[in-house]
Amino acid sequence: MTDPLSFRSADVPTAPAGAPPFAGDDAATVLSPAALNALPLAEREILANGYAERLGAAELHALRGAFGDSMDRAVNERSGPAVREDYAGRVAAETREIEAQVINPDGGEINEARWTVDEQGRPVHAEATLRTVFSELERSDAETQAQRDAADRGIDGDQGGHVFGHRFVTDQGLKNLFPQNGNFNMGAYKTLENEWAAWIDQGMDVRIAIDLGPRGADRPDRVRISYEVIDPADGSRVYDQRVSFDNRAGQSYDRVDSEQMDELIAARA
Amino acid sequence: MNRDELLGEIARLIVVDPKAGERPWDGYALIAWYGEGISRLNGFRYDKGQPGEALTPSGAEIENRLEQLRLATHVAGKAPWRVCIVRINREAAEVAIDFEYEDPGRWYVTPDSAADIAERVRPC
Repeated sequence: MTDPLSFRSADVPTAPAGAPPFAGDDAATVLSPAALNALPLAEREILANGYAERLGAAELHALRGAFGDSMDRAVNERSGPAVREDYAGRVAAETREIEAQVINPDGGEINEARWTVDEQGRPVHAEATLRTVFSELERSDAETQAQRDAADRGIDGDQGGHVFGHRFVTDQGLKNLFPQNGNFNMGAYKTLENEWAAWIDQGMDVRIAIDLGPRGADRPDRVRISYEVIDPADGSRVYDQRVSFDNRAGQSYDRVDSEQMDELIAARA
Repeated sequence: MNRDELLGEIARLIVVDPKAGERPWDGYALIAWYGEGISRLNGFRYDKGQPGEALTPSGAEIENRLEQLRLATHVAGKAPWRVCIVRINREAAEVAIDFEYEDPGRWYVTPDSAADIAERVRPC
Protein backbone atom coordinates (compact mmCIF):
# COMPACT_ATOMS: atom_id res chain seq x y z
CA MET A 1 0.00 0.00 0.00
CA THR A 2 1.28 3.43 -0.89
CA ASP A 3 2.24 5.59 2.05
CA PRO A 4 0.94 9.03 1.06
CA LEU A 5 3.62 10.64 3.19
CA SER A 6 6.46 8.95 1.40
CA PHE A 7 6.28 10.42 -2.08
CA ARG A 8 8.75 13.07 -3.18
CA SER A 9 8.82 15.49 -6.05
CA ALA A 10 11.61 13.46 -7.61
CA ASP A 11 9.35 10.45 -7.97
CA VAL A 12 8.99 9.49 -11.59
CA PRO A 13 5.43 8.54 -12.54
CA THR A 14 5.08 5.05 -13.82
CA ALA A 15 2.07 3.03 -14.78
CA PRO A 16 1.09 0.31 -12.32
CA ALA A 17 1.68 -3.20 -13.58
CA GLY A 18 -0.95 -4.31 -16.05
CA ALA A 19 -2.39 -0.87 -16.63
CA PRO A 20 -3.03 -0.09 -20.28
CA PRO A 21 -1.15 2.83 -21.82
CA PHE A 22 -3.12 5.75 -23.15
CA ALA A 23 -3.33 5.48 -26.94
CA GLY A 24 -1.15 7.96 -28.77
CA ASP A 25 0.74 9.23 -25.74
CA ASP A 26 4.43 9.52 -26.38
CA ALA A 27 5.28 9.37 -22.70
CA ALA A 28 3.81 5.85 -22.71
CA THR A 29 3.17 6.08 -19.01
CA VAL A 30 -0.23 7.78 -19.10
CA LEU A 31 -3.16 5.63 -18.22
CA SER A 32 -6.59 5.52 -19.79
CA PRO A 33 -9.20 7.73 -18.08
CA ALA A 34 -10.90 4.64 -16.69
CA ALA A 35 -7.66 3.31 -15.25
CA LEU A 36 -6.88 6.73 -13.81
CA ASN A 37 -10.25 6.93 -12.11
CA ALA A 38 -9.59 3.56 -10.54
CA LEU A 39 -6.39 4.80 -8.93
CA PRO A 40 -6.35 6.14 -5.37
CA LEU A 41 -6.30 9.91 -5.35
CA ALA A 42 -2.79 10.01 -3.88
CA GLU A 43 -1.40 7.91 -6.74
CA ARG A 44 -3.24 9.99 -9.31
CA GLU A 45 -1.69 13.10 -7.83
CA ILE A 46 1.79 11.56 -7.92
CA LEU A 47 1.30 10.92 -11.64
CA ALA A 48 -0.01 14.44 -12.25
CA ASN A 49 2.87 15.96 -10.31
CA GLY A 50 5.38 14.06 -12.41
CA TYR A 51 3.85 15.22 -15.66
CA ALA A 52 3.59 18.80 -14.44
CA GLU A 53 7.33 18.81 -13.79
CA ARG A 54 8.36 17.67 -17.24
CA LEU A 55 5.65 18.33 -19.86
CA GLY A 56 4.67 21.50 -21.69
CA ALA A 57 1.39 23.37 -21.33
CA ALA A 58 -0.21 21.89 -24.44
CA GLU A 59 0.48 18.32 -23.32
CA LEU A 60 -0.64 19.00 -19.77
CA HIS A 61 -3.82 20.61 -21.03
CA ALA A 62 -4.50 17.58 -23.19
CA LEU A 63 -4.28 15.42 -20.06
CA ARG A 64 -6.63 17.65 -18.09
CA GLY A 65 -9.73 15.77 -19.17
CA ALA A 66 -8.39 12.61 -17.58
CA PHE A 67 -6.87 14.12 -14.45
CA GLY A 68 -9.32 16.95 -13.82
CA ASP A 69 -8.58 19.12 -10.80
CA SER A 70 -5.52 17.05 -9.90
CA MET A 71 -3.74 18.35 -12.99
CA ASP A 72 -4.67 21.96 -12.17
CA ARG A 73 -3.14 21.61 -8.72
CA ALA A 74 -0.08 19.82 -10.05
CA VAL A 75 0.62 22.54 -12.61
CA ASN A 76 0.20 25.25 -9.99
CA GLU A 77 2.64 23.52 -7.67
CA ARG A 78 5.16 21.86 -9.97
CA SER A 79 5.36 23.61 -13.33
CA GLY A 80 7.43 26.66 -14.17
CA PRO A 81 5.87 30.13 -14.49
CA ALA A 82 5.72 30.10 -18.30
CA VAL A 83 3.99 26.72 -18.38
CA ARG A 84 1.59 27.79 -15.63
CA GLU A 85 0.60 30.92 -17.52
CA ASP A 86 0.15 29.10 -20.83
CA TYR A 87 -1.84 26.33 -19.12
CA ALA A 88 -4.12 28.82 -17.33
CA GLY A 89 -4.86 30.53 -20.64
CA ARG A 90 -5.81 27.25 -22.24
CA VAL A 91 -8.08 26.37 -19.32
CA ALA A 92 -9.76 29.79 -19.42
CA ALA A 93 -10.44 29.36 -23.12
CA GLU A 94 -12.38 26.17 -22.35
CA THR A 95 -15.04 27.96 -20.35
CA ARG A 96 -17.46 30.81 -20.81
CA GLU A 97 -19.75 32.72 -18.53
CA ILE A 98 -23.48 33.20 -18.87
CA GLU A 99 -25.47 35.65 -16.76
CA ALA A 100 -29.16 35.92 -16.06
CA GLN A 101 -31.40 38.22 -14.10
CA VAL A 102 -34.83 37.03 -13.09
CA ILE A 103 -37.33 39.65 -11.98
CA ASN A 104 -40.27 38.90 -9.74
CA PRO A 105 -43.19 40.77 -11.32
CA ASP A 106 -45.02 40.92 -8.00
CA GLY A 107 -42.41 42.74 -5.94
CA GLY A 108 -39.79 43.77 -8.48
CA GLU A 109 -36.97 41.91 -6.67
CA ILE A 110 -34.22 40.63 -8.92
CA ASN A 111 -32.32 37.38 -8.57
CA GLU A 112 -28.95 37.48 -10.31
CA ALA A 113 -27.01 34.40 -11.39
CA ARG A 114 -23.85 33.71 -13.34
CA TRP A 115 -22.76 30.29 -14.55
CA THR A 116 -19.37 29.19 -15.80
CA VAL A 117 -19.83 26.38 -18.31
CA ASP A 118 -17.28 24.22 -20.08
CA GLU A 119 -16.91 23.71 -23.80
CA GLN A 120 -19.80 21.23 -23.72
CA GLY A 121 -22.10 23.61 -21.87
CA ARG A 122 -21.83 21.75 -18.57
CA PRO A 123 -21.81 23.96 -15.46
CA VAL A 124 -18.57 23.91 -13.49
CA HIS A 125 -19.10 26.96 -11.29
CA ALA A 126 -22.02 29.22 -10.50
CA GLU A 127 -22.71 32.27 -8.36
CA ALA A 128 -25.98 33.93 -7.45
CA THR A 129 -27.53 36.58 -5.29
CA LEU A 130 -31.04 35.53 -4.38
CA ARG A 131 -33.63 38.01 -3.14
CA THR A 132 -36.93 36.43 -4.04
CA VAL A 133 -38.62 33.06 -4.33
CA PHE A 134 -41.03 32.24 -7.13
CA SER A 135 -43.98 30.14 -6.10
CA GLU A 136 -46.22 27.85 -8.14
CA LEU A 137 -44.13 28.24 -11.28
CA GLU A 138 -44.86 26.03 -14.26
CA ARG A 139 -41.84 24.43 -15.88
CA SER A 140 -41.62 24.75 -19.63
CA ASP A 141 -41.39 21.67 -21.83
CA ALA A 142 -37.89 22.80 -22.77
CA GLU A 143 -36.83 22.89 -19.12
CA THR A 144 -38.29 19.46 -18.47
CA GLN A 145 -36.46 18.10 -21.52
CA ALA A 146 -33.23 19.76 -20.37
CA GLN A 147 -33.63 18.00 -17.01
CA ARG A 148 -33.96 14.68 -18.79
CA ASP A 149 -30.90 15.44 -20.92
CA ALA A 150 -28.86 16.32 -17.84
CA ALA A 151 -29.98 13.16 -16.07
CA ASP A 152 -28.98 11.11 -19.10
CA ARG A 153 -25.37 12.21 -18.60
CA GLY A 154 -25.41 10.56 -15.21
CA ILE A 155 -25.94 7.11 -13.79
CA ASP A 156 -28.93 5.09 -12.61
CA GLY A 157 -30.80 6.97 -9.92
CA ASP A 158 -29.81 10.41 -11.17
CA GLN A 159 -32.15 13.27 -11.87
CA GLY A 160 -31.56 16.49 -13.77
CA GLY A 161 -30.84 18.54 -10.65
CA HIS A 162 -30.84 22.33 -10.63
CA VAL A 163 -27.67 24.10 -9.51
CA PHE A 164 -29.91 26.91 -8.29
CA GLY A 165 -33.43 25.68 -7.63
CA HIS A 166 -36.09 26.41 -10.22
CA ARG A 167 -37.98 28.40 -7.61
CA PHE A 168 -35.07 30.87 -7.55
CA VAL A 169 -34.08 31.30 -11.20
CA THR A 170 -36.95 29.71 -13.20
CA ASP A 171 -36.23 28.03 -16.56
CA GLN A 172 -32.51 28.31 -17.36
CA GLY A 173 -31.83 25.12 -19.31
CA LEU A 174 -28.69 23.01 -19.23
CA LYS A 175 -26.37 25.65 -17.79
CA ASN A 176 -28.28 25.29 -14.52
CA LEU A 177 -28.55 21.50 -14.53
CA PHE A 178 -26.32 18.58 -13.65
CA PRO A 179 -26.79 14.84 -13.19
CA GLN A 180 -27.63 14.62 -9.50
CA ASN A 181 -28.40 11.59 -7.40
CA GLY A 182 -32.15 11.69 -6.84
CA ASN A 183 -31.98 11.11 -3.11
CA PHE A 184 -29.39 13.86 -2.74
CA ASN A 185 -31.49 16.20 -4.89
CA MET A 186 -34.71 15.61 -2.98
CA GLY A 187 -33.05 15.30 0.41
CA ALA A 188 -30.01 17.22 1.61
CA TYR A 189 -29.87 19.62 -1.33
CA LYS A 190 -33.56 20.45 -1.06
CA THR A 191 -33.18 21.04 2.67
CA LEU A 192 -30.41 23.53 1.95
CA GLU A 193 -32.55 25.28 -0.67
CA ASN A 194 -35.41 25.41 1.82
CA GLU A 195 -33.09 27.21 4.21
CA TRP A 196 -32.17 29.75 1.53
CA ALA A 197 -35.86 30.32 0.78
CA ALA A 198 -36.54 30.86 4.48
CA TRP A 199 -33.74 33.43 4.74
CA ILE A 200 -35.26 35.26 1.78
CA ASP A 201 -38.68 35.14 3.44
CA GLN A 202 -37.00 36.86 6.41
CA GLY A 203 -36.03 39.73 4.10
CA MET A 204 -32.39 38.68 3.72
CA ASP A 205 -30.30 38.29 0.57
CA VAL A 206 -28.47 35.00 0.04
CA ARG A 207 -25.18 35.02 -1.86
CA ILE A 208 -24.09 31.63 -3.11
CA ALA A 209 -21.09 30.17 -4.93
CA ILE A 210 -21.15 26.57 -6.11
CA ASP A 211 -18.36 24.48 -7.60
CA LEU A 212 -19.02 21.20 -9.37
CA GLY A 213 -16.04 18.91 -9.64
CA PRO A 214 -14.06 17.45 -11.07
CA ARG A 215 -14.03 19.60 -14.16
CA GLY A 216 -14.36 17.75 -17.40
CA ALA A 217 -16.63 15.09 -15.95
CA ASP A 218 -20.11 14.42 -17.30
CA ARG A 219 -21.24 13.76 -13.78
CA PRO A 220 -19.81 15.81 -10.91
CA ASP A 221 -18.96 13.73 -7.87
CA ARG A 222 -18.55 16.63 -5.46
CA VAL A 223 -20.68 19.74 -5.00
CA ARG A 224 -19.04 22.54 -3.03
CA ILE A 225 -21.24 25.32 -1.75
CA SER A 226 -20.38 28.55 -0.03
CA TYR A 227 -23.17 30.87 1.01
CA GLU A 228 -23.63 33.93 3.12
CA VAL A 229 -26.72 35.73 4.31
CA ILE A 230 -26.66 39.50 3.95
CA ASP A 231 -29.04 42.03 5.43
CA PRO A 232 -29.83 44.33 2.48
CA ALA A 233 -30.69 47.14 4.87
CA ASP A 234 -27.08 47.70 5.89
CA GLY A 235 -25.04 45.16 3.95
CA SER A 236 -23.97 43.32 7.09
CA ARG A 237 -23.37 39.57 7.11
CA VAL A 238 -25.88 37.66 9.21
CA TYR A 239 -24.60 34.14 8.64
CA ASP A 240 -22.14 32.22 6.53
CA GLN A 241 -21.39 28.59 5.84
CA ARG A 242 -19.39 26.35 3.55
CA VAL A 243 -20.70 22.87 2.92
CA SER A 244 -19.70 20.19 0.44
CA PHE A 245 -21.58 17.08 -0.58
CA ASP A 246 -20.77 13.92 -2.45
CA ASN A 247 -23.17 13.41 -5.34
CA ARG A 248 -24.78 10.37 -3.75
CA ALA A 249 -27.61 9.19 -1.57
CA GLY A 250 -27.76 9.04 2.19
CA GLN A 251 -26.65 12.48 3.25
CA SER A 252 -28.48 14.94 5.44
CA TYR A 253 -28.11 18.64 6.01
CA ASP A 254 -28.90 20.36 9.31
CA ARG A 255 -30.43 23.61 8.21
CA VAL A 256 -30.80 26.80 10.22
CA ASP A 257 -34.36 26.90 11.50
CA SER A 258 -36.64 29.94 11.69
CA GLU A 259 -36.06 30.50 15.41
CA GLN A 260 -32.29 30.50 14.91
CA MET A 261 -32.69 32.90 11.98
CA ASP A 262 -34.65 35.30 14.18
CA GLU A 263 -31.91 35.15 16.81
CA LEU A 264 -29.10 35.68 14.30
CA ILE A 265 -30.88 38.66 12.77
CA ALA A 266 -31.67 40.15 16.17
CA ALA A 267 -28.11 39.59 17.47
CA ARG A 268 -26.76 42.29 15.17
CA ALA A 269 -29.15 44.93 16.42
CA MET B 1 3.10 18.15 -0.34
CA ASN B 2 3.60 16.60 3.05
CA ARG B 3 1.63 17.40 6.18
CA ASP B 4 3.70 20.41 7.21
CA GLU B 5 3.73 21.86 3.70
CA LEU B 6 -0.03 21.45 3.46
CA LEU B 7 -0.56 23.09 6.83
CA GLY B 8 1.58 26.02 5.73
CA GLU B 9 -0.36 26.29 2.50
CA ILE B 10 -3.72 26.19 4.30
CA ALA B 11 -2.57 28.96 6.63
CA ARG B 12 -1.35 30.99 3.67
CA LEU B 13 -4.68 30.58 1.88
CA ILE B 14 -6.52 31.78 5.00
CA VAL B 15 -4.28 34.83 5.33
CA VAL B 16 -4.72 35.86 1.69
CA ASP B 17 -8.43 34.96 1.47
CA PRO B 18 -10.34 38.12 0.53
CA LYS B 19 -13.31 37.35 2.75
CA ALA B 20 -11.35 36.19 5.81
CA GLY B 21 -9.17 39.26 5.40
CA GLU B 22 -11.88 41.82 4.93
CA ARG B 23 -11.37 43.00 8.51
CA PRO B 24 -8.24 42.83 10.67
CA TRP B 25 -7.65 39.92 13.02
CA ASP B 26 -4.90 38.84 15.36
CA GLY B 27 -6.13 35.27 15.59
CA TYR B 28 -8.05 32.94 13.34
CA ALA B 29 -9.46 29.43 13.69
CA LEU B 30 -10.77 27.16 10.97
CA ILE B 31 -12.82 24.06 11.68
CA ALA B 32 -13.17 21.42 8.98
CA TRP B 33 -15.80 18.83 9.87
CA TYR B 34 -16.22 15.65 7.84
CA GLY B 35 -19.30 13.44 7.94
CA GLU B 36 -20.74 10.74 5.72
CA GLY B 37 -20.29 12.32 2.29
CA ILE B 38 -20.76 15.81 3.66
CA SER B 39 -18.16 18.24 4.96
CA ARG B 40 -18.54 21.64 6.56
CA LEU B 41 -16.12 24.49 6.99
CA ASN B 42 -16.44 27.24 9.57
CA GLY B 43 -14.01 30.02 10.35
CA PHE B 44 -13.76 32.49 13.21
CA ARG B 45 -11.75 35.69 13.43
CA TYR B 46 -10.46 37.14 16.71
CA ASP B 47 -9.26 40.62 17.38
CA LYS B 48 -8.07 42.31 20.57
CA GLY B 49 -9.63 39.75 22.89
CA GLN B 50 -13.13 40.17 21.51
CA PRO B 51 -15.41 37.14 21.09
CA GLY B 52 -14.75 35.13 17.96
CA GLU B 53 -16.75 36.26 14.95
CA ALA B 54 -17.93 33.80 12.30
CA LEU B 55 -16.05 34.48 9.09
CA THR B 56 -15.55 31.53 6.80
CA PRO B 57 -13.03 31.77 3.94
CA SER B 58 -14.46 32.14 0.46
CA GLY B 59 -11.77 30.27 -1.48
CA ALA B 60 -12.57 26.71 -2.54
CA GLU B 61 -8.86 25.87 -2.74
CA ILE B 62 -8.70 25.61 1.04
CA GLU B 63 -11.06 22.64 0.84
CA ASN B 64 -8.83 20.98 -1.73
CA ARG B 65 -5.85 21.35 0.60
CA LEU B 66 -7.79 20.06 3.59
CA GLU B 67 -8.78 16.97 1.63
CA GLN B 68 -5.15 16.49 0.65
CA LEU B 69 -4.19 16.89 4.29
CA ARG B 70 -6.74 14.26 5.27
CA LEU B 71 -5.13 11.86 2.81
CA ALA B 72 -1.59 12.78 3.83
CA THR B 73 -2.31 12.20 7.51
CA HIS B 74 -4.29 9.01 7.05
CA VAL B 75 -2.78 6.15 8.98
CA ALA B 76 -3.26 2.69 7.50
CA GLY B 77 -5.80 0.67 9.45
CA LYS B 78 -7.24 3.68 11.20
CA ALA B 79 -10.24 5.79 10.20
CA PRO B 80 -9.30 9.28 9.00
CA TRP B 81 -9.83 12.20 11.29
CA ARG B 82 -13.33 13.66 11.40
CA VAL B 83 -12.43 17.20 12.40
CA CYS B 84 -9.39 19.33 11.74
CA ILE B 85 -8.86 22.57 13.65
CA VAL B 86 -6.33 25.07 12.33
CA ARG B 87 -5.41 27.95 14.61
CA ILE B 88 -3.35 30.97 13.56
CA ASN B 89 -1.77 33.36 16.03
CA ARG B 90 -0.74 36.24 13.84
CA GLU B 91 1.43 38.11 16.34
CA ALA B 92 3.42 35.02 17.25
CA ALA B 93 3.39 33.83 13.62
CA GLU B 94 2.30 30.44 14.87
CA VAL B 95 0.06 27.88 13.23
CA ALA B 96 -1.31 24.95 15.23
CA ILE B 97 -3.31 21.99 14.08
CA ASP B 98 -5.42 19.47 15.95
CA PHE B 99 -7.35 16.45 14.77
CA GLU B 100 -10.46 14.88 16.29
CA TYR B 101 -11.09 11.21 15.63
CA GLU B 102 -13.54 10.14 18.31
CA ASP B 103 -16.07 12.85 19.05
CA PRO B 104 -16.68 15.12 16.04
CA GLY B 105 -19.93 16.38 17.55
CA ARG B 106 -17.89 18.54 19.95
CA TRP B 107 -16.89 20.69 16.98
CA TYR B 108 -20.10 20.72 14.96
CA VAL B 109 -20.83 24.40 14.41
CA THR B 110 -24.46 25.50 14.43
CA PRO B 111 -25.98 28.87 15.31
CA ASP B 112 -26.54 27.50 18.82
CA SER B 113 -23.03 26.11 19.31
CA ALA B 114 -21.00 28.72 17.41
CA ALA B 115 -20.19 31.05 20.32
CA ASP B 116 -19.10 28.22 22.61
CA ILE B 117 -16.97 26.54 19.96
CA ALA B 118 -15.45 29.86 18.93
CA GLU B 119 -14.15 30.28 22.49
CA ARG B 120 -12.85 26.71 22.66
CA VAL B 121 -10.83 27.08 19.45
CA ARG B 122 -9.51 30.56 20.19
CA PRO B 123 -5.79 30.60 19.27
CA CYS B 124 -3.47 30.90 22.25
